[in-house]
Amino acid sequence: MPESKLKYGVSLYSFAKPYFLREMDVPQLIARSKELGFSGYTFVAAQMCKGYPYPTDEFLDAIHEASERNHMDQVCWEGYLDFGMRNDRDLTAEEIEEFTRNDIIYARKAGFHMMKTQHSISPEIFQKMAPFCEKMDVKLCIEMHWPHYPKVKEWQTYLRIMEKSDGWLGVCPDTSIFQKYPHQLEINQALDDGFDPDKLQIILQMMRDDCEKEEILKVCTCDVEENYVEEYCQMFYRPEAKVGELADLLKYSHMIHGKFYYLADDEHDPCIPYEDIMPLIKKCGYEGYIVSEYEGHHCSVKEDENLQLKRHCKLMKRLYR
Amino acid sequence: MEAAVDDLMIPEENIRFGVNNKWFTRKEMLEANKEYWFTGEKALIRILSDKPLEKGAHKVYLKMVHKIPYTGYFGNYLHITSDYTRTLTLN
Repeated sequence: MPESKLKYGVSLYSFAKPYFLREMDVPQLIARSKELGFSGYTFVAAQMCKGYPYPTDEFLDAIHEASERNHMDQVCWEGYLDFGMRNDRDLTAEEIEEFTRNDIIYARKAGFHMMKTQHSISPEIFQKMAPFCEKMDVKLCIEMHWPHYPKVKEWQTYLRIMEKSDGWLGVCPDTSIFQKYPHQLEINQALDDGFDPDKLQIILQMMRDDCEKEEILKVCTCDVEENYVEEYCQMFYRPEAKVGELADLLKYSHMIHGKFYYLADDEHDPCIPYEDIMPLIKKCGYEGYIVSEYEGHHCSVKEDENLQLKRHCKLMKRLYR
Repeated sequence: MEAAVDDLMIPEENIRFGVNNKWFTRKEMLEANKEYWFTGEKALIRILSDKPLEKGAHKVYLKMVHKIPYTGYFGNYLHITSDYTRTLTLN
């Protein structure tokens, strides 16, 4: 049987709760990720890199050493492009360039060969970064995250730039762009906020039946219910991104963010269509990492991220075969 | 940012915000965008006064507007206003 080309990683952002509570530090999270079945990791530098944007060599050495000790690939240094970090104005082009260069330098010092930024970098600056990326041996990718999708005009420009970059510039598709249904933790929040349980079930079924939003809204009898339906329909209903369009992105993909929020005992994701995504990734021959990114902690801190990540890893491996 | 002790508002020029072992006036904070208030770390508020507080309970009020640059782009960002009043005891 040929070896699987796909590699399975984890975003340490998934462990936001134990990290914030100081239950585990970054080297411990790297070791835990290995135990859960992953072979590589990414981390959000501004979240977990003390001293960011100028972390100490001691910290960088510690995470590199923990990565080697646990045989974990350092997949990506996930930078923030805090475009609005000043109180009085957005960053200038010159400042964005300098922040990006700074992240690339520290990523390389820590042992990473990939850095992730955001679409607000602008096509001009993104293109301008290519020679520096090559010099530093660090690839630079932009995350395609909801509400963006491949047909957004700006992304057509970015893809053309990636095509001409000899692989130094790329994209990180986040599977949230394909989300088609609210996840269980969001549904629980709606119930907690007073959404009538019977009506909520009717509405969720109407979403599965592809009913028009106006029809769904007719079921609502209070502001709470109407607000949730508006939110569901805006964020999770009839996504603009089509799974088939992922094929065009994979050519330029440095990694994929495998977003998920909650997996029940059946290890099935009713929100993000992994049953379509994983076979497509295989068919296209994509050889990089898919990085599990658990974000259920946005809605509930009661869930066990270890269990959730194990389930997601199993789900992806099962559907890739 | 606003602060009050025993219902007396503190003039802005007497408030200092402390992170990363440094102290900032409000004016300095506006330029301190390369200082990161790290995840989960506590900031300290220092209030300058000619009249030291007496021992005992004091009502302390703080208000902060927190801009979150990650939540938006191009001039449109989430701002969260939070305030808190707590009785603290000086021993």
